[in-house]
Amino acid sequence: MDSIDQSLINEIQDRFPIHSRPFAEIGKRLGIEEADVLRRLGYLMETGVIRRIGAVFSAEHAGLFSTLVALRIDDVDYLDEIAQAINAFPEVTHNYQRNHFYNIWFTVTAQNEKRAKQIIETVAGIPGISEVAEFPQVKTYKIDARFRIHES
Amino acid sequence: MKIFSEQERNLIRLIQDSIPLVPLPLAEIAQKTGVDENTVIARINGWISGGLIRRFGGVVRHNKIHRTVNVMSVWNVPLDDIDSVASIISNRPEVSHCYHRHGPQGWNYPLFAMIHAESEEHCRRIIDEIAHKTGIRDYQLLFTVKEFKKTSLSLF
Repeated sequence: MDSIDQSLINEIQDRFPIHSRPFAEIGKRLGIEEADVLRRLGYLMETGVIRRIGAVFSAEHAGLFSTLVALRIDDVDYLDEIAQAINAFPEVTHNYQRNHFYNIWFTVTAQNEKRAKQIIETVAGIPGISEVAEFPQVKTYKIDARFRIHES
Repeated sequence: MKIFSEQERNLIRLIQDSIPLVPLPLAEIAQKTGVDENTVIARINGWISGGLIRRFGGVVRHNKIHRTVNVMSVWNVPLDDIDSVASIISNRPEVSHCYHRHGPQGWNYPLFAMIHAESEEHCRRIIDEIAHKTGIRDYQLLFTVKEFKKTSLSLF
């Protein structure tokens, strides 16, 4: 990854133009050709540095219901299997093992609260889970998953 | 869930994924949804200003750019102080998410902040600075052991 790639990664996160020819516009800012921008972005996506280029939607503004759920699994041998069962719900967007009394944490973003509760109840019924805790949000202070690269 | 027209739903389906890497990506999307390019641009801009689209652009995998350590930090903050403490924490660029969350009975850590750092040592330094600046000494660090799933929100 060279310094142009680094600038490009920052540029597409911070100032992506909603224009007819966005990649030409970005190229102009960085002093490179549109074709070079496309080639570099193609490579950064292939190698997984950039997951996608598109819209990041707000669950709240879309009227969806989201919450955070934690599980206590005593026998860690079951942990992977339980995690896979949770992953099967498309409404589960994030799912992590963490070093804590509650060792699995996942987020549910569903059409409504009823559907979210349904998912949580189904998960709670999986054998091997000794405790389920819910952490619904009271207030959102920050959501900004942009990761800037220090340009060299 | 908000109500969207079929045409809007088609557009959302395309832009919640990745736009194509071609010179005229929005024209290509417009063609697929049966509207013209200007309509697509106007809809996206409208959704950005209305807040439905929080941001439009690149989504980067942080572990690919040396932000390999992720921790969910939870802080025992008196509810009267939570806004001011949250604003100090949210100001840090290493913090991607910050929420006030209601926990089960006996849970004393209402403020949640996701932190991304270059190393565990870097992470601990950030935490120390936050603790020093906010005066909050009671916190827990829940490091990621394994990532089972991480996807972008899809509306449909």
